Amino acid sequence: MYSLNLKSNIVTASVMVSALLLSGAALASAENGDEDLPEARELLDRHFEAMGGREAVEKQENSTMKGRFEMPASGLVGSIVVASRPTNDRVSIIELEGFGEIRSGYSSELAWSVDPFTGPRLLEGEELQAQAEQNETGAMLREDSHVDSMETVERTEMDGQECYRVRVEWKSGRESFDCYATDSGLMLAIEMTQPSPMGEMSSVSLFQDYQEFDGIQVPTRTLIRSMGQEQVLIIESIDLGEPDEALFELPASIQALAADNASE
Amino acid sequence: MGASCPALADDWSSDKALETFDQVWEKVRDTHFDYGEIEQRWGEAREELRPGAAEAADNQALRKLLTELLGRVGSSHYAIVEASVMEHGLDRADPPRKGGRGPGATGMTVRVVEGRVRIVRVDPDSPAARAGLEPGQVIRSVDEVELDERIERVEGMEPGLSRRWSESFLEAGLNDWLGRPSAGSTIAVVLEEQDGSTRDLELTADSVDSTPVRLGNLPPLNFNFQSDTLNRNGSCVGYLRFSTWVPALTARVADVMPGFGECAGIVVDLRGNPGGVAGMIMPVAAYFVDEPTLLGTMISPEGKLEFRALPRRVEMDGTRVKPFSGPLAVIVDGLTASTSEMFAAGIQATGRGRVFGSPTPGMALPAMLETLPSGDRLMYAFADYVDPDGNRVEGAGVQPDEPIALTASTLRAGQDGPLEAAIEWIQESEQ
Repeated sequence: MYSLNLKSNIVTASVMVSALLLSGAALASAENGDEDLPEARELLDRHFEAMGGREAVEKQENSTMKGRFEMPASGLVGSIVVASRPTNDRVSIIELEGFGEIRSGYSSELAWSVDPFTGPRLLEGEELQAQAEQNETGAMLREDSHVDSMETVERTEMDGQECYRVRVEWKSGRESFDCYATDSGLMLAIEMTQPSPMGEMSSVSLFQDYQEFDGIQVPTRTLIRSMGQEQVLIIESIDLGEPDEALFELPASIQALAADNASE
Repeated sequence: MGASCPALADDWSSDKALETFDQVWEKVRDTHFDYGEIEQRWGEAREELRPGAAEAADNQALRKLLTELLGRVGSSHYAIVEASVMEHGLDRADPPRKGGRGPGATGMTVRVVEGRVRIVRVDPDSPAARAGLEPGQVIRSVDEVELDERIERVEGMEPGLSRRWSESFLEAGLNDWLGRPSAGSTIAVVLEEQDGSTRDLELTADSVDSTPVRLGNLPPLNFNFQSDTLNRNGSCVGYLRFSTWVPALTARVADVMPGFGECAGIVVDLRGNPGGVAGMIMPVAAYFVDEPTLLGTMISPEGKLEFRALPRRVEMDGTRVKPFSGPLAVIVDGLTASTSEMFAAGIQATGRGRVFGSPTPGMALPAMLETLPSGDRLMYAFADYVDPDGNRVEGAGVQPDEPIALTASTLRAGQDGPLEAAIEWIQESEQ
């Protein structure tokens, strides 16, 4: 589930960097007239088919993606590593020049982050719930266990590409929007609002430059727009073997917080 | 090109000048946090000034025009930054000097007090201290530039925002010039003694222990951090002072906070601190709050970003820590700007601490830098900022809870009024 993994906790982590800088944002106007819109589930199935088939996507649970993280307007650059393994273990590490490390992770029941602005912390309540809805495999597959309903709401345009916009109502009551390309069927974008210590953060993630890795189409460029700030994630390599165990080791600060939580 | 046009610099063209002008104008149009409020005058400014850009003979002429254009916005954090500043940082604005290699300091801090440039602080064992300089003394000229004339020019301006900013820029420039020349370079100073006689001296800057910091498009910054434990009447007061707000600051604060654990209070001295990375107010305030605390809100057309400090409970190595719960004093002055104002405003509005000193300039907009076709950088604000009570910091500044103006007599007596008042308040709070 690479395309979906990319949007997971990276968004939360990188949005913190937004505390510093700039503007942007763009969603083109909607246009669907009287056209019959396809069913949301139909669009989702078509997306998986375009990616290489749902079965192939589901079986690839291990991955280590490495690449670059850029904030072009502010001239900030860094490296990024995103790793996944079964079941539902994710970690992302952004090393941002001049700022240091922005690290976040998720495993069932525990979501955490360490960044230069809010320090080490365990995510709780709504934040934890939102992370589950972005990182659990069932949530990424938009399964009924996580999703209340899905509805295609319009045919629109995202950065010059036509797509069908689908509203996703989550079990938690949260709402997000997926957009599936009218031509290729691939997912072009996700819009969501999620809780954070800095208030509710809205973001649009645009998935671009899909390339095939081991029979699966993966977006190698993800553009995240949040608070008017643009961030670019560029995947340069993908290893589908078991990720390095050390990547998932909890930072000492998170271990301490988790131990304190457990003893409370 | 008509015969009457001035000759153009080698790599200069009117196309490049117009392209630069248009980029500046459009960026403000597209990103201003309240464009409706400035739309009319901004459109008029374009009509009036754009023809001048086509005629600019060189980048210097264009820079002057763009400075005038950005002045029409009427807010801080709209400026043109020379390209050379981006390469050389603090060295850039220095007038020509003998010698010079890397960041340096003479160890003196100056302010305009009672209409004269006076020394307000002399660092121990610095070139200024070795030359016998003392707080309260008047600097009459530096490198043959008469300072009284400069002050008269600014103080002759109509009272208002432009004058206030000019005063701030003048003081900031003087401190760069007198206090932070390149290491090894010399400045020629004429000192006025109390009896009116003058003394000529040359100061050669020491190199300073600073950490060079590069953060994306920002100019190179030299980060200095100072901490001390001040012992007064048997109790201790922690003291923090730093040159700018950068990510490296958090680790330095983390290092010294355990040593302040038994202190009666802590002073954060932000005098002369021009700001830095806005988000850094959160991890620093995290050492002083026991529950999530809203320090202020950034407001842009795209939404709001709440600057909330989360109590620091654990260090990166897993060591448990407790936020400091004793009195917190913040000292500010007319050169406490931007991120420093955001911190002071947040601490004051939440009631977590008390602010001492003189009012801040109210230059507190979140801003970014963008490269222009001319090579210079455009600094532009992309959001507004309000304190936790919803009050704008831009323009208004932070008004100290205990205003303390510097005077020539207290300086000559060797007293640091705002610091003494902060310590006194901390000690009273302890009782």
